[in-house]
Amino acid sequence: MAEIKKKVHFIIERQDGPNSQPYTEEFEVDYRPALNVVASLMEIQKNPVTKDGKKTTAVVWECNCLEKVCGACMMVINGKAQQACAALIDHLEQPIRLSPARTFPVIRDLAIDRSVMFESLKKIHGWVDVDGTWEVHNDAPRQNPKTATIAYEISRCMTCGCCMDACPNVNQSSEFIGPAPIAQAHLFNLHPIGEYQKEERLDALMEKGGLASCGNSQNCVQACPKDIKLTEYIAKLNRDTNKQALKSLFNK
Amino acid sequence: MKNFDFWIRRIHSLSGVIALGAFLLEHIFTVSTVMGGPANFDKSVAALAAMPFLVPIEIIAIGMPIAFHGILGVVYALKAKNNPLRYGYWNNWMFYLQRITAYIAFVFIIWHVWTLRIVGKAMGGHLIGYDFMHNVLSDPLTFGFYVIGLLSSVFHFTNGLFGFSITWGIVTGPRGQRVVSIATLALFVLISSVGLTALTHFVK
Amino acid sequence: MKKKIIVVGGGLSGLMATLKICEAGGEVELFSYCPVKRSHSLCAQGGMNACMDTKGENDSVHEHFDDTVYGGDFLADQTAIKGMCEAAPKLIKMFDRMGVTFTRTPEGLLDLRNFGGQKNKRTLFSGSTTGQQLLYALDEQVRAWEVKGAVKKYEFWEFIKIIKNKESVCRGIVAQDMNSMEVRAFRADTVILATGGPGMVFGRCTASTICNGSAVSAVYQQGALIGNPEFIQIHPTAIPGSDKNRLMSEACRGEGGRVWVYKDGKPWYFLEEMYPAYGNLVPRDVASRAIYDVCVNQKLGINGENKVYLDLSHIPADYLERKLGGILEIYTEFVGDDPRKVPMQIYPSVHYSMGGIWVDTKHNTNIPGLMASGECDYQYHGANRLGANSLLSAAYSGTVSGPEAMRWAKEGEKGSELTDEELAKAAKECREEYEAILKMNGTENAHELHHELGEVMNKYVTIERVNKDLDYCFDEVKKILKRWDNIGIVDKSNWANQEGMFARQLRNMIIYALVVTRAARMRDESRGAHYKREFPTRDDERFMKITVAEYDQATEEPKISYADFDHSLVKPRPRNYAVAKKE
Repeated sequence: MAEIKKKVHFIIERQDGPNSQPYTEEFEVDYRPALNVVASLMEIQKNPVTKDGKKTTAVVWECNCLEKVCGACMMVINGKAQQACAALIDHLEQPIRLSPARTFPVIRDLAIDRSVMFESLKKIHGWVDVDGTWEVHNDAPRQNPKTATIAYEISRCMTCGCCMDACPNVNQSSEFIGPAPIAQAHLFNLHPIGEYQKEERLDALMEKGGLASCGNSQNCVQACPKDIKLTEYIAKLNRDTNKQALKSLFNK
Repeated sequence: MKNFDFWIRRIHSLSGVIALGAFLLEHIFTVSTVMGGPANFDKSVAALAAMPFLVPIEIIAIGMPIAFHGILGVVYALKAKNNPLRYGYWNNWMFYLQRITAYIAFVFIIWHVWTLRIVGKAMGGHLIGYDFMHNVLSDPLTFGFYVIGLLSSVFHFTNGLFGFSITWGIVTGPRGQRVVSIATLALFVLISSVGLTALTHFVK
Repeated sequence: MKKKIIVVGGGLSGLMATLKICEAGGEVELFSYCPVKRSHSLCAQGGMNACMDTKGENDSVHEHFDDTVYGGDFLADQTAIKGMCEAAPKLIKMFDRMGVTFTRTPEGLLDLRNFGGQKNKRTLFSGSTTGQQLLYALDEQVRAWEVKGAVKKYEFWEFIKIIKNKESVCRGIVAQDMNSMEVRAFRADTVILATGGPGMVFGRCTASTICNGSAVSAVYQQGALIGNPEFIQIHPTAIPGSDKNRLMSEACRGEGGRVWVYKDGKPWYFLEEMYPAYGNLVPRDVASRAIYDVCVNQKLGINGENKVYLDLSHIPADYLERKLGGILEIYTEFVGDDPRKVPMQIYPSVHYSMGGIWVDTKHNTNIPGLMASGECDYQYHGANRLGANSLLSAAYSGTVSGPEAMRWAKEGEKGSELTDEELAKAAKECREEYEAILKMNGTENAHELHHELGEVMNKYVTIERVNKDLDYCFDEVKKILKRWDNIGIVDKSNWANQEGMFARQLRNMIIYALVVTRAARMRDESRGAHYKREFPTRDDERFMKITVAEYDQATEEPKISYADFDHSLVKPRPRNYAVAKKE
């Protein structure tokens, strides 16, 4: 007797362009062990036919590494923003609903425009000011391995935007810069040379839409696929910015 | 001014705890004197009413902070895309409730001040006291609204303390935050039970 | 006027070159399929080699140099390798200043770990996401230059081809906006390709989906020579998967992981038995072949499948957490088992291309004005790359290609600048080609065809190569090329059309597959990653030469020739990892 092939049922929210109306299409993909959402979308690419047998175009989405380090394939899966490559079908309730993370402008289908996150890294001065890539005949300062461990945790942030989508205060009508770039400011403040620009970073975080727009929903820390302790760093920066704000109020 | 937006947000936070929070506590304390009997309540109200510079104090120390905190708060809250159904975490529900209670408290306080302080006392010339409150609260609808308004205000205040402790960098780590979260919840239960008990005393 | 350099690709090499150009006063237009922060460099896990000699082992730059030459089975340009190994410690110090979160010793210095093919601790690492950390450091520095106005990024733009002026000098590129689908031509004084490896030619591999080698194939079809294309590294330890094979870092073995299978009911640590001197830390080609032999020839794979154990479960969990945390997460996440408790199941997978665009030691290609840098070039690794040398070669090549691009921009014989007409013509050609693709109405699905290409390449052109199979494979790939003409494009949209772009990339991949297969067929010896049972030994007499592939317009096939290279520093000696390396 032929075994009935187990199917995985997808309901995908599609959109042809930034200003088009969203619509849904349903797909079925053959089940196999360790199947994930990206692998399923790849199957749909090979045979772009809906559940009802209607020929359609392949779903558009963004992905690169499929190892949860590049951050590209973030989308909303069953209501929660996450990396599609690491979303195993076995762990998801069916039908699996995919939609773009609408906190960001939609490009097409599940592909979104996250350029705002990279722009934010400019705002918060997200780099260490080195004189140049040339030799300076001088070692970089030693670092306390414990501080370095915290820095490593934050520097694993892959700018995927899960925290941004989860945060109620990040949206297209708010200026809030969001959790990811805030934590990055803390990362550079932790570095012995990066610390020289701490004041500039904190000032940037005190501008409109900065740190103070955080509403403590704390979704970010739950949503972060890299388990970065975002709320803790936000609280630490709250302390730092308060100090600096008071200082500049009285000292200048 | 440098850091203008930052300071406005911070003053918003401060006004919530220092001006509004303190007044809320004082107000519930005054009201709760009713538990010692109607005469007791009338005495405390009279004592307050006898304060020098009462009207300027009411306007500057209470009215203005409430208006500042309330109006700005509504502007902020309206910008949020609330999502507790997608992200059903405890803190997200608290975030959502903080905003819902804000709207309720905002309406309740306006109505409360309007009916009692402005229409009742200033325009109607009524003496605010046990008898007057007894009349007002005997209407079950009004009583219900008072219960909701009281719970919302108290929740908004106590849960606000949680945010306050993070906004001011008082607690940073997850454990510290959890402790504060539980403490503020306990405070909510405590203050609201005092308030609710007091309310029931007006209709006995 | 400021010199304008186009850099295609924003991985480690492209970004490094960009920084060097900015520092030399040039302006960069940086093209990438994806935000450069998502480039494939970030998948490198284990580390970056540099002789720091901080572990009391008397490590030396010469030792690093010699390990690299020996590991590469004497097929790499030795002067180039020497330059790279000498620069390595300086590069590490640069990265350290930029804020890379290297893992540190208790006293706050940079820690070192063991890696395959080397007896000394020489690998610097940042947890298990070293590539991510190095890439981010350069991404941040480039962002600082972007703010200063020296860099203009074209992210989500696909490179289509280079444009030559009438003197046949490369003076610009044509690229396409992946959202608006606008095709546009750009002028440049120099063009650097830093577009990474061709992993996707093999379908499933450890590479990102963006590593399709399409750009390399495109310039090859425009006359750029390819060097050593047959040398494809098979990483011994990957988690087999249907969408991709996920890398399980060599650091697992570096930190004490052991490879074994059951034999006669008992664990058999075959690498330790076969190669007592290096044990589990033999180079990748050696380990891959041993695993292949154990599974395919001896049929000893786990449950008869092509899998062996990679075991860390004897190592204390807190040590593993500190040294390997991130990659163990990958295993748990994608397989579901905890490698701290149970042995992982792994199998070799296509991982890296030693070969690529032929370049001189300054990274100039044979086309004047066009340079290549990073995995897309063929330099530094010879017949096999040592683990943790790829981040090094990527970063180092950028420090060479960047300044050289500026030198060429200032002093090179660039000939005339492209006229507006030439630009318009080039863009129009590409636009028409693309529009023709969109009109294709055949029966083949491009993704399905790609899948078939990967299957056949994986089957015949990986660990063990047999001449008659390679002939068969070549014919199969040619059939696939023919079938490409019969592709049907369903998506006719003029906005973010991934299907159309993929079809164009696929054709380039197929053309490149022919290069790899033909070059493998022609090299009748075994050297590094290239192994033929029919010719099991290295044949220095005939093949101590670089394979050079040139595109033949008429047949679309490669013409293979062999070229001498610089091996003046150390004399070739047999490569045998069963005994400690002798010089």
